[in-house]
Amino acid sequence: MVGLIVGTGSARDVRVLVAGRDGSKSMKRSKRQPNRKPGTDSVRSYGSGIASDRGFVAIVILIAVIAIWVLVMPVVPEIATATLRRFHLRTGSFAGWAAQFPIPAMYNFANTYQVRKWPEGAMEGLPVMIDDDEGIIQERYINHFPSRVITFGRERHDFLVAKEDRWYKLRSSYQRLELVSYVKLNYDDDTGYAYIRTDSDGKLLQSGAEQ
Amino acid sequence: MSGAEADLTTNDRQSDSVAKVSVALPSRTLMAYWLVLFGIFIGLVWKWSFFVACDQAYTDLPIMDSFFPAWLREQLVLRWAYLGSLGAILVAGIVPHSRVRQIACWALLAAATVLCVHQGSYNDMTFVTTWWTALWAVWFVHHIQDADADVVLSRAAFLSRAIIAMILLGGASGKWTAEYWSGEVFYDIYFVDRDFWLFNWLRSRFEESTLRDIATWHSRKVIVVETICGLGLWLLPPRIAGVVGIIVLTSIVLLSNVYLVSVLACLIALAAVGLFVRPVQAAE
Repeated sequence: MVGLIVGTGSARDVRVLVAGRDGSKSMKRSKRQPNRKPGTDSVRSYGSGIASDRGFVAIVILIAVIAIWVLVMPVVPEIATATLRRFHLRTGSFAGWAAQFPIPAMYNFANTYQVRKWPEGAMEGLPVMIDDDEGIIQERYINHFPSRVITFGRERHDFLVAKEDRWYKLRSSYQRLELVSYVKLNYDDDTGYAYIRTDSDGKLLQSGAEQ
Repeated sequence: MSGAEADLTTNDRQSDSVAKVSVALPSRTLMAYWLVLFGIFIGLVWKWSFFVACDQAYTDLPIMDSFFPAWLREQLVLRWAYLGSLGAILVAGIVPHSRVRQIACWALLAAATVLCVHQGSYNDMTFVTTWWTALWAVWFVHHIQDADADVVLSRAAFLSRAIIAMILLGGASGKWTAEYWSGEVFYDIYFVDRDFWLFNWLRSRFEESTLRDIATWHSRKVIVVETICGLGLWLLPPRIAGVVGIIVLTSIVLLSNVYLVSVLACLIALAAVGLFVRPVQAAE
């Protein structure tokens, strides 16, 4: 017997061409599923049994919560402030900071960084030199998480490879809100760099605490 | 698992014997699954040399910050989370055993979670988009053998466009601020000295004042597109959303930064899931 199954692009309409031993051929149609009305595919096809799909429901809820979070951020200062602190690694606790990781933040906020060889104001009161070097190595905008200039990639290498102390000024602004952080990296030959958060006067802040 | 089978037969007139060669094509669900895993894999290895260089730099230049738990400052943890994610993808894609696939997808999600909170990688959106796509994969792999592939793919497509919309919305809302609307941020990040074909060409053709104007309109275009897609992509029919998502995400890469392939490859694959949803046939 010769059999050729011809798929017509739909599992609901598989036709089977059957050739008998006598050479005769006939087309048999498989049992078709009920047709759906146009325009109802998106709702009906995944709507049935959705309540029992707890994984699906949980993911949708998570997406909805985050979507609402980012949507109301412009009008709820607490959310924007939490995000500012997130970007500066100054959330009250690591757990609170880490819990925000699923929130997308690509090219968020106006973030700038300043990398210095000595702290801001260190030269005040000193004689002005002809080639006045303010000690700024680089000052730029950055897309998100300005703290990344300290911890990530090429910037981490380029600014720290000299194995000298470094001072950073990180600034993030969103609408009327602004956060400025000062960080000093203390270099030690045995332990590497120590990440020290300070205020604008260089006074030590507790690591990770809000000012 | 649904699929099309072609039985190729030859009829020996003399003996009336039949030789059959069966060719089983992968199902739509399996193809969607493989495509998404492939997208995640491409995104993770796109910056392979960059991550290798980072690995060396972080080892040479450790930073002690008590904000992070000690194990999330360890370079070894970062290295194995990254390599582990690649291994999990390979296992999830190659091994044809459902339980193994499920475990591998969960392992991928766990590795991506570590990458999202480690000191050396928390800021890289590559791992955030990887995490969301891995979350989708975890759900999908538990349903890949469900009887009704149409239902599975419809739900999968909804999740994919909801995830992409949410991510674009997150990008948009952070740009609803004066510095982005004026183009100031994009001008400094891209137009001043970014080594990319588009910005190299623009700098060769236009004066600084014109570049600033272009940066302004480029930035506003990005804000508008991200906002519209963030608010509306999830409402579109699956196949249309798939096409729109692929176009928008690909255009971001082509017009901004080749490194963004690492961030967007998995999302482009996720958007393509919508193309696997069968169009509704007209009622007879």
